Amino acid sequence: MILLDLINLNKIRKAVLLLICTAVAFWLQFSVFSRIHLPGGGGVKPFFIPALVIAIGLWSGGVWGGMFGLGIGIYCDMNLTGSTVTFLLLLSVLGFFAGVLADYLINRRFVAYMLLSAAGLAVAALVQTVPLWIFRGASPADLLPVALWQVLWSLPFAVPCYFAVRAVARSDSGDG
Amino acid sequence: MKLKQYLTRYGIRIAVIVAAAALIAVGAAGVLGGRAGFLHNADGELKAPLEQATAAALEWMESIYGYIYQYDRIVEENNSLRSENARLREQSRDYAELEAENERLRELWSWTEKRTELVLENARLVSWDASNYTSAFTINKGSSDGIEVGDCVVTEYKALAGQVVEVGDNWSKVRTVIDADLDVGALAGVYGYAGMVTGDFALMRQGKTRLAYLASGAQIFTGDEVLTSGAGGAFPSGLWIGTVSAVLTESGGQVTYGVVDPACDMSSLSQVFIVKSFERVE
Repeated sequence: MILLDLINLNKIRKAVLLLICTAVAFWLQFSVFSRIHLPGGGGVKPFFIPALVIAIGLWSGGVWGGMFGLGIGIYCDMNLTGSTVTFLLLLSVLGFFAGVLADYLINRRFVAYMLLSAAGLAVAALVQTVPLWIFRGASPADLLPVALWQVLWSLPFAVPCYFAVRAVARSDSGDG
Repeated sequence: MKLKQYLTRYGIRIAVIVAAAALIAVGAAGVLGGRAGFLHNADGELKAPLEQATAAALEWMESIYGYIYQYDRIVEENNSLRSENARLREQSRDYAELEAENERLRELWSWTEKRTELVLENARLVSWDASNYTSAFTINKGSSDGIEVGDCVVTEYKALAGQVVEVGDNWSKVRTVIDADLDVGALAGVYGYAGMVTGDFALMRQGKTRLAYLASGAQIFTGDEVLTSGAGGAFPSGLWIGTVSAVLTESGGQVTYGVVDPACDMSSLSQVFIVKSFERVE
């Protein structure tokens, strides 16, 4: 009983709910969307995971954003061919600074989140193009349209991330 | 808490944790050399049934969609396949005559026939890579079936599909032949000019690849077949890579390269064969 009192059940509940959201997002991203080619840029696949990390940072603070960004980044690096630490670094930074921005500089409204997500998705898309540009000599003229279409098609999937993470944050009263 | 205090208190801690995790990840990738680590392997094992169920459901939905919306295209394709089949039957009869003649000449000159024997393992494609910047897929066989990093992957027609780049216990990741990061030694045309099929991002987005680094004096033409050369030992020789669909020159106008349509149809790929080993036999 004493041991149980030491555990913050609210935080554990929140972490479990966020992990469930993350698991659903992973399933959609890596099993469903990986087979779908949407119009534009020669058939792009949306990549909305950075938006999920930003939503977590925005609603749960920089520490949660950074830590979830780290875990989600490791998973992305494992599942995306040719990536070792790219997403581990990128998503940790995005999650942490989304939390910092929400705590000190911006509000948590939907429009602010969408703007932040658009910026985060754009950074993620550009980071993905860099190895091809530097090591394989791919032309930015070929890479940038694909990156742009990836960002545009990822934005609609950022919307449910916002509402799901907001619902988790609101169900958890004393924390943030 | 002020912003500066927050950044000092939490920012530095998180930066240290992230840096440590990054170092461990880089170190593990270096040590494992393409073999999956514990976490990655466990993830592959756990999600394999879910991915297979998702793939089956999506394939079923695609087949329904195809039946409803692509009927006319399928009828047209069927007609063109019938005429191609007739042409191939005729060609096959010609080849039978040539083969018999070849056999007689071999006996006359006492030349032994050389061929490449492949040890194959069949596998099913489970999922495609979620990135827009690579062309790769996951299959349902791994190191427990004897698959290793670097093994080449072919279709049932011995058309090159790609190369294994990462191996777990019961899954492997395959970079396709059109991937911007894959290089394969190749022979092109009737005279077998040596070159290299080397990935190109712009062509990858169109489902094609590039035949470059051709030997000086080499001439390639539209319609030339491109086969693996076997140079370097990673791929057996004689696998069909694709067909040259265009011959272009680099922007300087000095260097010629070919655009290659892969023999492997990526859009309908569902089963592949991994070449576990191969040897040239007489």
